[in-house]
Amino acid sequence: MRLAELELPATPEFVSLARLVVSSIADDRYEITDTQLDDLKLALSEACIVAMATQDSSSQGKVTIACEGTNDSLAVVVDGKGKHFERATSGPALADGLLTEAQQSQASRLGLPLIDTLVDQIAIEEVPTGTRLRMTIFCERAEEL
Amino acid sequence: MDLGLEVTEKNGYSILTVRGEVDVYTAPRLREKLVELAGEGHYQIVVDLEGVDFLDSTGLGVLVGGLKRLRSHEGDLQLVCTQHRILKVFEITGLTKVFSIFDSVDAAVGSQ
Repeated sequence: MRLAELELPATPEFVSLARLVVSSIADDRYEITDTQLDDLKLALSEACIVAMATQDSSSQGKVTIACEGTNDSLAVVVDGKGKHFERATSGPALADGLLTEAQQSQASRLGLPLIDTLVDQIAIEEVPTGTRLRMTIFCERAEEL
Repeated sequence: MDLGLEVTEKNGYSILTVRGEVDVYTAPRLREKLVELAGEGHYQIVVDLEGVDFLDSTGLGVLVGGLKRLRSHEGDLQLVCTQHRILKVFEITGLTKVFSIFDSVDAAVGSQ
């Protein structure tokens, strides 16, 4: 079930708004722990960074964020409508000798490995408009008052 | 959310106290401050992250860049952080092996 959909300009100043909206929905609709909420906010930010980094002329400068819920999971779907991207290499090894220029650059591309660690499932879906990132956390839906 | 940056001096260290959210929008301001401090000859810097609510990979990149810049001048960039939510980001990325992370500013500057 789709809970909400946001379409935001693909610019950095709107990422905090996306965090606020998605975390409010997650906190309101699901029995979610503080740690899960923190992880979801960070994963969403990283997904937005990836989506912004992969923008192309077909993207029209927009990022779409959708929240989809079931009784035991919440998925946040980020679609930058940009060019396809590859899953990056894993993160922890990056720390060794991180002070080279190349590795410093790599530090700013930690997004996908970070998301992989923060959410229960990550799926990179190829869609006609580009690449879609689906991040799922397992949590129980809150009882409605 | 706004990013707060305040610089003080203690035991020969520049203490950069950061407050708020360090993300893809605000991280450039942190980078500018670190570059400014290094440009003024402050090569021993402690970045106090106790007031930081959120840190993403762009913030990590800025801190790593700052560390590299300072080490090229025989300096260092140390961190103060006890918050699990922030420490977790350093742990996931393995950056706890790169940065010296302390529980307090006093511990970082070696006064305790």
